[in-house]
Amino acid sequence: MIRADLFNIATSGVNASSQLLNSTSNNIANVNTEGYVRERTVFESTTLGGVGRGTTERVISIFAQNQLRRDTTSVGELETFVEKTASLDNLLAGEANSIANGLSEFFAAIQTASDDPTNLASREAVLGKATSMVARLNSISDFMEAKEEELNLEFTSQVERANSLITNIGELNVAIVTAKGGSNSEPSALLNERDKAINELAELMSIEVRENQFGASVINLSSGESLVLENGDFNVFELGNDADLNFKELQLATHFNSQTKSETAININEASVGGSLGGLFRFRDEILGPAQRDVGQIALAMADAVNSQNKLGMDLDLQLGGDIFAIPEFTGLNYTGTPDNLPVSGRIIPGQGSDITDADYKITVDAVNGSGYPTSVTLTMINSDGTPKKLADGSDAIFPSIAINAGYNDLPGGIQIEFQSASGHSVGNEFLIQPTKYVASDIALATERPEDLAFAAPIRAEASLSNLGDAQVKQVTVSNTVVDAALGSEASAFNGAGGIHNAANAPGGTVGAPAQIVFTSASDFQVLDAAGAVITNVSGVTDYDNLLAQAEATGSGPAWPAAFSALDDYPGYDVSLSGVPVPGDSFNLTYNTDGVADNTNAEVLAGLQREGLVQLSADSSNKTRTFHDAYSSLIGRVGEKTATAEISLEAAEAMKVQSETWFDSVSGVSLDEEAANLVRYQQSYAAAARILTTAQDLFDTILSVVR
Amino acid sequence: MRISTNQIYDQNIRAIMENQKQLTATQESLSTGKKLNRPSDDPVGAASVVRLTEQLDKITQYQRNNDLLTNALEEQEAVLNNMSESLRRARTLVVQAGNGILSEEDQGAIGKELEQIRNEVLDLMNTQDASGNFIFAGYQSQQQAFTFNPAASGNAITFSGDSGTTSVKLSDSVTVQRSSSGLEVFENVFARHNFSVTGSSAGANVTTAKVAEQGTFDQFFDNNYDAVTPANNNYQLEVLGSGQVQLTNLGTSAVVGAVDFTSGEPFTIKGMTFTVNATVGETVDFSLNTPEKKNVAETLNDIANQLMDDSLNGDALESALADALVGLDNGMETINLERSSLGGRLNIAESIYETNLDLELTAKDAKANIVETDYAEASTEFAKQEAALSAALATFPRVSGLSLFDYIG
Repeated sequence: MIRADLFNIATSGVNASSQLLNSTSNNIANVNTEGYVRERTVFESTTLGGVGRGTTERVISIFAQNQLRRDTTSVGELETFVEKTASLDNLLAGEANSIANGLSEFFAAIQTASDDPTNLASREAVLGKATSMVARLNSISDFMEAKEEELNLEFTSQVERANSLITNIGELNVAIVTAKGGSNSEPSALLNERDKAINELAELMSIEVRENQFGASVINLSSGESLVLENGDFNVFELGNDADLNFKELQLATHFNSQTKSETAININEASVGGSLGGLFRFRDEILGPAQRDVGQIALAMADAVNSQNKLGMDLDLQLGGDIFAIPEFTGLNYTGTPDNLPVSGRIIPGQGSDITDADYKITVDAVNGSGYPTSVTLTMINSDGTPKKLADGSDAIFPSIAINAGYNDLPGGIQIEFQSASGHSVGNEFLIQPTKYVASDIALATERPEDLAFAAPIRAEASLSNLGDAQVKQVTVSNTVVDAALGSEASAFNGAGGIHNAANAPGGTVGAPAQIVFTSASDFQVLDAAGAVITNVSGVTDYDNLLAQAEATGSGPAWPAAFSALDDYPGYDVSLSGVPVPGDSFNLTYNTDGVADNTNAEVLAGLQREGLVQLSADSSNKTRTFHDAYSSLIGRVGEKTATAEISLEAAEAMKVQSETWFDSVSGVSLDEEAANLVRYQQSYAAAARILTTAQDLFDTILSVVR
Repeated sequence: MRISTNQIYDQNIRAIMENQKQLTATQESLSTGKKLNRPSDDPVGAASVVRLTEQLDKITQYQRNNDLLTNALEEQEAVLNNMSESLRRARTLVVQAGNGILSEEDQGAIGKELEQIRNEVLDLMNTQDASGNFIFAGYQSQQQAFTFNPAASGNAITFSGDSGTTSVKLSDSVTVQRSSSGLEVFENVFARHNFSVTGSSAGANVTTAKVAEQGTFDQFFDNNYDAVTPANNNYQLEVLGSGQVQLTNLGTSAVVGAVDFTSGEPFTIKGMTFTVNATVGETVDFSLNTPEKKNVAETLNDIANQLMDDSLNGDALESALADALVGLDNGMETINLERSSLGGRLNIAESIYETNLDLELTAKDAKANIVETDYAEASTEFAKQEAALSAALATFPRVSGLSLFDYIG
C-alpha cells in the first residue's frame, strides 16, 4: 500500500537524516578531541524503497596511519636523544667546568713556580690550581653520574608507561571484539581510544601493528617479539641488570598470572628498540658511557703522570717526592652466576698511567688450583655497552691465559688486580672492573703541603774544580727513585735517607752506587763509587750522553756488576756531558742535599703537558695523545653527535609533519565542511519530514472522499 | 588536498614556533658575540678551539717566563758590570804597585785600596735576588755563596754552593739558562802557571828561576802538563859539554829542547829564565806546579795582604804582582765570557718574545674566526628572521578567522 510505503519511506528518510545530522554534530563537537577520526554515515539502498541500513564508520586510511606511526617513532627516538645529548653538550661548552682550562692553569702554575722553586707562595699557587682542576674533574664526573641515575629513573618510568599502555590495548581489544560482534556499527570511540594508545606506544618504541579478522590489533616489536596478542594476552617489559647495577638491560616477560606456570623473560636487544626508549639506550651507550670513561681516563693518566714524575724529584724537605694526587682503588663487580662473597680489588699500576684505556675489564677465571684460588684468567676489554673492544686488526681485545699469583697481578692496559678470597673460586667465575667510569669523581689531592712538590732533581752532578778540560754537565736524568732496602727488582740507588747506596747497601755488596766518573782520556773513563772503589772501566767513548748507560753496556775490567743489571733500573739516574773532557777530569754524583733552587724536575713536570700520556685505543702498539688532545676529541665527538642528531631530528620532524598532513587530510574534521553538511542534512530532514505531511494529507484526502 | 581545521592552526603555530626558535638563536649569537656557544654548533671548530686556547695559554705563560728570565739576566748583568769596573780599577792599581819608585807606605796604601775593592767584589758575589736567594750559589741558594775567613790557613774565601744552573722554557722548543753558578764564573779561574825547582846536583847553584815570558811558558805548560801521570811533570836541565843546556822530561825521558848556556849568565828556555852556576854534567830538577784555580777575590786578598806586608820585596814581590795580574786577567776574562753569554741570552729572550707575540696573534686570529660572530652577517640574518616572524604573526588571525559558521544562520 502506498501510504504505508510513504510512511515507511518518510520514517526511514527522517531517521537517515537524523543519523546524518548526528554524525555531523559528533564531528563538530569532537573537533578538538585528540585522536578523533571523523565519522561518516553511509546508507544502503533497499529494494522495497526508502533508505536502507546505515553504518557509521570512521574515515581513515590505514596507510596514512601506519606512516604517521612510523614517523612518530623516529621523532620520539631523536627527540629524546637530542634532549639528553644537548645537556652534556652544554656542560662541555661552559668555560667554568672546562677540564682543558684547568689543565692549562695547573701547568702554567708549575712553570711560574719553576722560576723560583723555593718560593712558598708559588708552590701554594700550584696546589691551588691542582685543587681547582680536581674540582672540575669531580664536577663533570658527578654531573654524568647524576645523568646516569636520572636515565635509570626514566627507563623505569617509560617502561611502566609502556606496560600500562600494553595492558590498556589488550583490554580495548577484548572490548572491541565484543562490541563488533554485537552490532553492525563500528565501536568508533573504542577504536579511537585504541589508536591513541597505540600511537603513544609507538612514540616509546618501534612497533608493528596488524589487525586480525575479528578486529583485534596484534602488536609486535619491530624486531619480532610480541607485545599484545590476539586474545587479549600481552607481555610486559622489565629492567634487569647484570654485574653493573647501574647498567639496566631490557627484558620482555610473560604475564600469564598462572598458578601452575611461572613467568619467563627474554632479553631484548636495546639497539633495535627505537622510539623514546631506544633513544635513551642509544644516549647511554653511544654518548654517556664513553664520555664518563674518557673523562676518567684523562683523570687517571694525568694523576699518575704527575705522581710518577713527582716521585722522581726532591721536595723542599730534601726528601724524595711522593704522590700529589690520591688515586682511588676500585672493587670488582660480580656477574650473576658468580657468588657475591668473592671480592676482587684493582688499582692502576703506578707509573703506567699512559697504558690505561677507556675500556671496562671483564675477567673470567680459566683455571683454579686445589684450594680454590685462580691460577689463570682471561681478560676481555669491553666497551661501555658490553661489546668487546676491537684491536687494530679488527679482532676482539681478548687476552687469554694470564697467569695469576697471590697478591696484585698486572694485566694489560695498566691495571693490576687481586683476588681477595683465598678459596671458593671456580672456573667460569666472571668479574667486572670499571676503572675509568666513576674515578674522576673520587680523585683528590694527596697532600696540602706546598713543600711536598718535588721540583729539584734528587741527584746533582758536578764537575770537579780541578778539571782542566771544558766539559760541562749537560743534563742529569732520573728514571727510578724507588727505595727498597730489600733490593727487590724495582730498587734504585737511593737509600731514602738523603743519600745513595754505599758498598754495604748496594746490590752485590761489593761496590756502592756510581758516585764519580773520572776520564782517563777523551774516550775512556772510569766509574767509581763514593768510597773510590772502581765499578767499571769504559773505553772507546765517542759521545758523552748517558755515561752510566754506556758503562753498563760496554764496561769491562771489571764489567758492570751483574747484581746491578739484574734489577729493572739500577741505579736509576744518569748524566750527560757537553764539551770535551781532558784526562784527569772528574765529575761527582751526589744526593742533591740543600739544592732547593734546582728546578730540573719542575721543568719536566711542566713538560708533561706536551707529552702523549693518554692511550688512544685498546691496542698495545698504539699512539698516545696529550691531555688536551684527548679532551678536545671528547668535545668534538659529543658536539658532532649532537649536531648530527639535531639535523636528523629536523628531518624526522619534517617527515612527521608530512604524514600528519596526510592523515589529517583524510581523517581530520573540517569545520567548514561540517557546517555545509549541517545545512544539507537539515534540508534533507525537512524534506523527509515533508513526505510525512504529504502522506498524512493523502490519507486525509482518501478519508474525506469516503465520508 | 583536503585541509582539516586542526591542520590550519597547527601549520600556523608551527611556523611561528620555528621562526621564534631561529630568531632566538641568532639573538643569542648577537648578544654573546660568539657564534660557537656549545660544541654542537661547530664540532670540528670546538675541538680546534680547545687546542688553540691551550696554545694561547701556553704562550701567555711563556711570555711571563720570558719577563722573569729577562729580569734575572739583567740583574746578573748589572752585578757583573760593576764587578768588571772594580777589577779594572784593581788591575790599574796592581800595575801601579809594580812601579819601582813607590815607597813602602805607598805600596801599603795601594794594598788598603785593594782590600776595599776585595770587599766590594765579595759583596757582589753574594748578591741576593728579591726573594732572598743567593743568585750565584747554584742550587743551594738559601745559604751564602762565598764566605770570607781571613784567619783561614788555606783559602780565605770559600764557596759553599754547588755548580747547579737553572733553565727556563721560553717556547716549546727553546730553553734558556737562567742562572750561573759562582763556581763557574768566579771560582773556575786559573791562577798563574808556574814551576818550582825541586833540586839540583851538588855543584849547581841556582840563583834565579822564574817565568819571564808568561805566554810562551803557558803554551809549554798547556801542551805538556799531564794530569794523569804526575811523574811526567818532572823536568831536568842538564849542562852539556857543547855549551848548551838540555831540557829533558824525567818521566818520559824525552828531550824537550836545548839552548846555549854560559854559567852564571841567565838563559831562557820555554819562557823560563834561569841563572845557574854549574859545570858540565850538573843538573837542575824542576817540576810544573799543579794548575790551581783561584777565585778573583782571593787574588785580590792575596795581593792586598802582600802589598801591606812590608817584608815582601824584590823577586818575591815581583812574583806576587805577576800572580795578581794573571789572576785578575783570567778572572776578568771569565767574567767577560759570562757577560757576553748573558748578552746573548738576553737577545734570544727578546727575539723569542717577538716570535711568541706573532704566534699569539695568529692563534687569536684563528680562534676568533671560529668562535666570534660576524656581526654584519648575523644582523642581516636577524632582520630576515624578524621579517618572517612578523609575517607569520600577522597572517595568523586573518587565516584562522575565516569560518563558514560566520556566514550561515
